[in-house]
Amino acid sequence: MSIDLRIFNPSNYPRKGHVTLPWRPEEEAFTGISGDELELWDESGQSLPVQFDRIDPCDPSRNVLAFSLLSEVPPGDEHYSVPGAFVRVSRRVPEPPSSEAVPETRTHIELSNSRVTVSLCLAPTQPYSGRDWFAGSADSFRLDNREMLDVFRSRYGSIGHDPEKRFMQIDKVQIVSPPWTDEPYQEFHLHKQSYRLQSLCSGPVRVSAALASEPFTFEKVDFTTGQPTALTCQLCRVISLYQGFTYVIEETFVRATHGGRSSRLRFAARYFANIDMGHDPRIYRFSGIPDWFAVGYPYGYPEADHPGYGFATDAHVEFLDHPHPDCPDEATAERTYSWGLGPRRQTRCLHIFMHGNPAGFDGQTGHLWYVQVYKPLTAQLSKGD
Amino acid sequence: MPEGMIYKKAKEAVEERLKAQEFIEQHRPEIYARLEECDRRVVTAKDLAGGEADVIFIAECLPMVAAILHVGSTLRNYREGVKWISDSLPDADPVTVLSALTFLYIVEHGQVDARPDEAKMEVWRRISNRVSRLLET
Repeated sequence: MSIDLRIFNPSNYPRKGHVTLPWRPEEEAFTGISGDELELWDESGQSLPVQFDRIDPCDPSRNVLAFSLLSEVPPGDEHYSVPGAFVRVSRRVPEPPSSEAVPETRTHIELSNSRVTVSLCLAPTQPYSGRDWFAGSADSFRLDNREMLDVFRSRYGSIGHDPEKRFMQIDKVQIVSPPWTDEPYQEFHLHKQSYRLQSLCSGPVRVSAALASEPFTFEKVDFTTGQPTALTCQLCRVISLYQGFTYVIEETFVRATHGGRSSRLRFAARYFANIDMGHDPRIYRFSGIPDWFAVGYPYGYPEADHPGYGFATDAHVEFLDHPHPDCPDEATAERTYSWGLGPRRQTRCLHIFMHGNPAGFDGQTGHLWYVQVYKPLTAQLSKGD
Repeated sequence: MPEGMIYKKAKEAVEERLKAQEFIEQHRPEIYARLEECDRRVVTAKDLAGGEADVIFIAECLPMVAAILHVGSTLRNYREGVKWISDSLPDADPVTVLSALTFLYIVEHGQVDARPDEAKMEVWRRISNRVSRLLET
């Protein structure tokens, strides 16, 4: 009996790239192969880069298999109904796990590939400035050795970077209340709450960090008794940087636990960024396309700096504020952006910084939204004779 | 436009509109060093035609000079500068013009500050010619 992965390309053109799929105890039982022993081959007999990530060592239901397709998959059906290629699954001698044991005390981590290094703040406090509102943000994104959060200042080494610079911070979540309660949601501010690093996985496909916020309590009113029930919640985020690519992919959900059972709650995240995109940058956001936006500075000589940032999501961006409305410092307010997503049980978002292509900020972000968020390559397990 | 007039415009752009002269003053050694280094690189590079050398010089220096619009000027002053250019040259990209004027302002001051060092004056004459050719294009 052979075990295959059926590969689906939802586009009308050939595509290759990376694919992820859950590899939980169910998949291990179905195939009889543990994630650590997996070996993948494409139809031409080529061995594929593969890695098995234990995202949360305490929860095998979050285990993920990630692999790269080296050859193009022919065009397929947009509804994922017809597989375009097959990948053969076999067993090999187990390799050391891609997840490393992580000390509980880390306050900062870096994810790197050949072009990008992202620094993530787990603790709210920056050791060198004493500012205590950085939890869950990335305070540096270096693309080809250039600091993209502060491009113009980085031209002047003597100035130093803006100490407030950061992006990817979820500073607030709203948890949706059940319909029988008076308040539509409860709000939790997270920018001063530490994150715990659950795992740090690295391999030939990607490097990923799984983070969980400090627990907070959501009071849910029981429908039958009318009594409040305290659910212990955590915002869980998996932040991944794929080998050879310059974008960051983030998967986020709110896990609630009560009485030994856990579930995922509907939540709406608000993102905050403090990035220098120049004076009066252009915002690319189209009515009717709520799934992505881009910000960039396209003006001036082609030889000058043209930084750009793009965000794409599978939840709608319901609002985008520039400057951020609560910014206390008028002089630096123009660097602040905040945007809110619509409520979901889980979100998949993409962040990208761009330079050198000022005419393509919107096109690049929109394309990445399509290929990585809206219509990614997918795989499905199948058993044949 | 006569050369003297252009330098007058550059002074007005940097000092009265962008109000970036304080930033340039503070970072003068860094800016000068970068421009001189770029000039030295293209002078010592082999197999470069004159035009190519200018293009490389400008490509390496312009990002630093153009960044002054953002780090040396406030949002209000930047907008004032953009409006000033747009009013007088409605068909031009105001940011391009402001960057060019800032470049000229720096080059003019660089030439003055190079005196009386003959070798430095020669470097700055070359830089000035390169930037002038940029403006002609």
